[in-house]
Amino acid sequence: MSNNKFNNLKTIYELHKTMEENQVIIAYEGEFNINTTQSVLSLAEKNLDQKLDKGQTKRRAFNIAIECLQNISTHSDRNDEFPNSIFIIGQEGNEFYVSSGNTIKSSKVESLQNKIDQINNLDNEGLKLLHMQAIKESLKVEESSNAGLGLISIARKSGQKLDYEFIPVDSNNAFFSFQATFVKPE
Amino acid sequence: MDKMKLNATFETPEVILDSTSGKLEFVGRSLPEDTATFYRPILKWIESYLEAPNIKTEIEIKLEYFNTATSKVLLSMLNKFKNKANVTVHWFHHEEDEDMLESGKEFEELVNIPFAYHTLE
Repeated sequence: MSNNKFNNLKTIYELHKTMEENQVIIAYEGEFNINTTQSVLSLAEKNLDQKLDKGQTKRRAFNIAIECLQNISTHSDRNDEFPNSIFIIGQEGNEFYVSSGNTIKSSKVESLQNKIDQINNLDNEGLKLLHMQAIKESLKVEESSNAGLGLISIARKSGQKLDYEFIPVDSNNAFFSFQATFVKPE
Repeated sequence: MDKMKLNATFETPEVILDSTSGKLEFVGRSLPEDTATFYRPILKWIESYLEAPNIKTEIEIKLEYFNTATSKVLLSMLNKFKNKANVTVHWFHHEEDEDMLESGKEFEELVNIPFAYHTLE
């Protein structure tokens, strides 16, 4: 339908404007698997290299990006109805943000929320202890169950509270929006 | 025993495992999501090495980045050496990279084998 085409063309401009207004550095929307993750990560690194001096800040930013992306590809509950996730890095002045959005089963919402709240209630020293404890625990369990470790690592690199929101998309699934910020030192 | 050498990629480190010198090197970055596939042959090599280790084993870790999945593998790898070899871990970090230095200290605390710290460049 010609009407559709018109809307699509308009969407290009609207998306472009939205991204400019939000100072998006990189955004990827689509299916996440090992191959796409690597491509997005490589592009993210090139962009971060341009925006940040190589050094501690860039390393922290890139570390957050790695964990965030791998959290999406490992932990989202993709299905035919909700195959896609989103990953965004943006900037607002001296503040950078790494965001992700993916669908998870509603049954997982509570435990994920508790995990993030627990992390947000800890200071640096508390996060360090939690990390040591989590990594020891993770060795006892075969495979997976890294989610805690990735989130703790993001919180430690970020130095800020983690932002999140769960939006129910149907009776079994929720969209998990997540954002970690970090401040570029003056 | 064969020497093992893997070249670095975007998400995996250069690895050189030499039983003759007792030097095991990991250089670059380790970010694979699927750590099992990459590290399985390395862990296997280490297990055979530990059947008759060199008088001295030096593990050099010169990583700029590693993901949390890698930190699990590193921990179980280093744990294998405990009470099995005369081992020192040489942990390298960029001078201003406090995070990497702190990671080293955490590993040292977790595995309880001797660590020496060095700055890169």
